[in-house]
Amino acid sequence: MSFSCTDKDTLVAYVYGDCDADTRGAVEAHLATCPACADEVGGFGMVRKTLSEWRPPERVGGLRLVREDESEAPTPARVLRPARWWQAPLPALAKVAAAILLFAGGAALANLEVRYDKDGFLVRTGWQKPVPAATQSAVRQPGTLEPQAAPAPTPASVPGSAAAESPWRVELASLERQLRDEFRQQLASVRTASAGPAPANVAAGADVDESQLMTRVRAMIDDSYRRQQVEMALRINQVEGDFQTQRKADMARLQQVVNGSLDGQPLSPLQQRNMMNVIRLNPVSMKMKK
Amino acid sequence: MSPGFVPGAASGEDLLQDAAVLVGLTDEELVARSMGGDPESFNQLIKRWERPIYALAYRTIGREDDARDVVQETFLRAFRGLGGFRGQAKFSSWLYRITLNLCRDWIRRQRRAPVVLTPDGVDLVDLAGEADGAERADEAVARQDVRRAVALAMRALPEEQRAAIVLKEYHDLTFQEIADLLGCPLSTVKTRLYQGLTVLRKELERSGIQSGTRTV
Repeated sequence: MSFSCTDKDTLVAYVYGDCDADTRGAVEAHLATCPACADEVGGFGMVRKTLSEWRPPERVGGLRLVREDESEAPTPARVLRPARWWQAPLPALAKVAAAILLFAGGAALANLEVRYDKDGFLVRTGWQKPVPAATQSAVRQPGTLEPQAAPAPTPASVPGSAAAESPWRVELASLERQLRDEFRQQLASVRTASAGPAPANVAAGADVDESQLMTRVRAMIDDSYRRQQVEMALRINQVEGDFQTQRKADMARLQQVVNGSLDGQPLSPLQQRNMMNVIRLNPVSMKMKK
Repeated sequence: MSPGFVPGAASGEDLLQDAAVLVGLTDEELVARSMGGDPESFNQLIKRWERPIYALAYRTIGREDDARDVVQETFLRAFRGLGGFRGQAKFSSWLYRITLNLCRDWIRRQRRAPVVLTPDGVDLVDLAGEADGAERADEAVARQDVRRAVALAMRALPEEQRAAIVLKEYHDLTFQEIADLLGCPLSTVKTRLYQGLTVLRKELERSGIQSGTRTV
């Protein structure tokens, strides 16, 4: 077998000792006469020696396959996302401004009114405006279309600022005064009509009518009492009849059950329980029968 | 079952006993038991192949943390794909293929979003941990230099050559096994190895770690 410089596959096999004896002999014969190939083979040998010095770090080992439930719960990965403007923390001044804005908006919506004057400190909410006293007290007079101004409220009926806060009180007081005036006028007219000397027979006739009325009323009361007594007697009689009927029926059932047990037929637990129920429930059933 | 991987999960005494039984089983037996619903059998496979897979990933992509992620993903994919493992190839080859695919994905992602990634450099903690009592500090530093130079040289290799070099140099696969794994003809594997060794030689000479000129 011969070997040439261009046969690199065989040269590699020779370097790695992976060739038969004939090939090895042919290569060695060539190397003895070819300095270039000899240098190449020598260089490869030194490269291989150097490569053998290269060892990976001994920082490996202990890898194990485990079931997921054996291992600890995986820590959720920390995901980095671009910051969102609504999640960015606000500076303190911005928070205070936002709070003030929110409060002011709420106060405006609620129509908050805060006042401090000679009447004291007043906090009021709502959309209803305080109505002037003259307008508040306007009432419609009977027979008129336009409201008329009522007299100014007295300090006693409408105290101070309460009148301004509660217009209905003023109206109520005015109405009360009006009714009182009307009642007073009617009473005066009646007295005027009945003024003058009354005849004696008129007074005597009034006394007679009164005694007759009392007699008639007493008779009506006695009649009513009598009717109630009769009704009561009838009801008692009816209840007694019902009681006797129920008692006879219960006794018959009890007798029937007892006879059944005495006939030599043992009572079943259900029958015994029914019998006990009959005995126990009899007073109740009798009381309920009205 | 929804699997997950927990690095360094505590194992009880009963698990140790089970593991002692599982140690004597072949990969294929462990695969069969895993497919039958025995997670400890798969854990034994992990224990058996974790370091080789990590070494493959680390040497392919050159980044420790990323290599660890690749290892975890490799076993996760393997577990999920146990039903598709027909036993036509060795379990280790199957794992290697998954790892190389994941490394390839990682390299492509790096190409799409190019970030200057240097191989893990010299760490004083590494030096303190790896230097034994007899090793002098300058020797430890020299070894770290070699490690860094090799890592840089490996990064200079095209992906296919790097995979062939790593599989041959560090995992001692035959040419045929590499060909099967990479899905290419046997001669292609040898060509890639030759080209890879040539590039590595040049890179190491350029970095000052001249082969044979420095005792490490």
